Amino acid sequence: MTNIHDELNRLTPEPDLDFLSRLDQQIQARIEQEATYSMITMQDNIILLFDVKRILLLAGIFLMVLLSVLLLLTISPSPEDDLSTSLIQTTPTVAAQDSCEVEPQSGWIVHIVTEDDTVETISQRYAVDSQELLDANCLSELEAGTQLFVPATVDYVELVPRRPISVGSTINDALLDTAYFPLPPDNAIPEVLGYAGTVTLKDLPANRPIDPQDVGFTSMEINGQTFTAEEGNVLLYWFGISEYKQDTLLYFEGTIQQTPVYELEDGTGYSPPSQPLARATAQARVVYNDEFKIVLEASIEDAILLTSFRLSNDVLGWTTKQQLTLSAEEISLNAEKLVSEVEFKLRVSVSSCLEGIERFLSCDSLPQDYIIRATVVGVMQPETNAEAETQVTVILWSLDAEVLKWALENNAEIYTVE
Amino acid sequence: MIEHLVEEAKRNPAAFKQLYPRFVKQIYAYVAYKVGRKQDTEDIVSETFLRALEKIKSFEYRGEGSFKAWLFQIAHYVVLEHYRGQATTVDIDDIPLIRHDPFEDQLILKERFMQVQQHLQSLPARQQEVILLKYFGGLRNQEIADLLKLNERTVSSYLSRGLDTLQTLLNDVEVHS
Repeated sequence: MTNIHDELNRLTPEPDLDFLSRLDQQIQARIEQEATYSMITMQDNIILLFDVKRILLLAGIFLMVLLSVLLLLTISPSPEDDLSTSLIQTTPTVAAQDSCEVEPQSGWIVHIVTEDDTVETISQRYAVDSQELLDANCLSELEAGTQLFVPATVDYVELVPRRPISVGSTINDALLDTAYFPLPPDNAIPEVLGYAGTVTLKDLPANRPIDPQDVGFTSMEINGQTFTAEEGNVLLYWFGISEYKQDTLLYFEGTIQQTPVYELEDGTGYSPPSQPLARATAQARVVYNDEFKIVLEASIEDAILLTSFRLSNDVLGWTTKQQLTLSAEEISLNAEKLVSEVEFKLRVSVSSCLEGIERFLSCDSLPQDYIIRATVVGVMQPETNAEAETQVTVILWSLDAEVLKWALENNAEIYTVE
Repeated sequence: MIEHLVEEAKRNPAAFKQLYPRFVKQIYAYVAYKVGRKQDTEDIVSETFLRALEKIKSFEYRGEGSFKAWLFQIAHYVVLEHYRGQATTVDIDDIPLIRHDPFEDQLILKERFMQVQQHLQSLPARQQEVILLKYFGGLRNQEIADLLKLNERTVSSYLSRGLDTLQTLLNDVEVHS
């Protein structure tokens, strides 16, 4: 029988040289592209520098012509005119060395010298030795307006949209890289409220269609904590809804995790092994009775042929309330504003994997010491006592929804950390 | 050494060219077992490194192995994105080259690779991931644990169970053939 260890070691796929070469070219192209983009951003000018060498050549030719013209103009009948002084005053003081050829290193970008620049400041800024900088540019000194090549060490502009709140280590790795975009309608809320558990579509068509189609509209009660009406008002206030009433709508866009089953022509089902993600829009409706609830009503536009879907808790977040002991300073900071945007890091210490957590995540994956970034949405009923510390009820909102929810249900210790 | 290169690449993206070749083979093998098809593997590996280059400034070096783990994390996401709704049937001609051994027929190696890959994909996702990261990513158990947010003992357990299952499946194939 084959030994599995040997077999795995033996069967290692390898890239061929052709691919490695292409990859190297792609990396090089991207480096140059980033360097060019960086230069454009840095100068705040639209300078198209797609071909550095060509531009450099043209600049050299232009400089030569300019020098020639100036030389002709400067050679005047007056013998007291100093030729060298005239040249220095009218052209960049780029002492181009005849034997020197500007050959920018890979990844270097163009920096246009400003009046405040010196060799030392530029060297420091781009972390390059000043002599190396001058040598690489065939220069002996600088003058404003001169272009010179420098290592690309400036900060790049982040092109990839990011979620507004850093999630850090999360329970749902598969969704880490998905971006979150709040919907833009007039009465939209800036963030998303509530925790959505597994939602099963009702009234599935008896025969699943083979062609993609909209699965329609469904609704369910969000499996979140129930708040009192007063606490619900605080939440809504935090979400920017000042006039709230029964059936107030909260809009959001979330990510759904599909479990598609494609029906094949022979009537059997086929489910791909991956977990494709899709976007879905949804809205939550506020329901007031004696208690405050939010009902999720999702119109699933992108999800086709679903048997079930799960609105990502990672995107939705979860809101809860918790007794916290805060310092007087923290109280004044939050209570005065009532609705605070100050973020608190919470540490949840979980001593054991209790029954029930498996509903949400594997016990194995639950860290023993978990840092949660939560936002204090509201501070309720502060009762200042004579002590320096005050017990208050705060309403928290966190993207680490399931861990927070579970931790609170199981009385995990939560305290603020620096 | 890696730390130095990473820090250099954060300051000067050109230094990324000295950094990434050290990890290409491991990422390639990992992705190849995930997707099977050579063209897909190459696309995903390229995208992984381009994305790493783009985001390297936000990477925080946290000790030996952290950069490699970060690359595998990116590769994992790119595979997920790539696999949106795609079928997984792969022809043997589309299989990547298996490490060359002059005494073995490449066709036989590829057939065997397809079997192993198929069986790997039948394992629970965590076991599959642990085996791939261990054997083809060259990650240590602790590094895998950090990457997958597991503890080291759990990684060992997944590894052991996954390999046992894989061994059994491959033995069955040999018996039947």
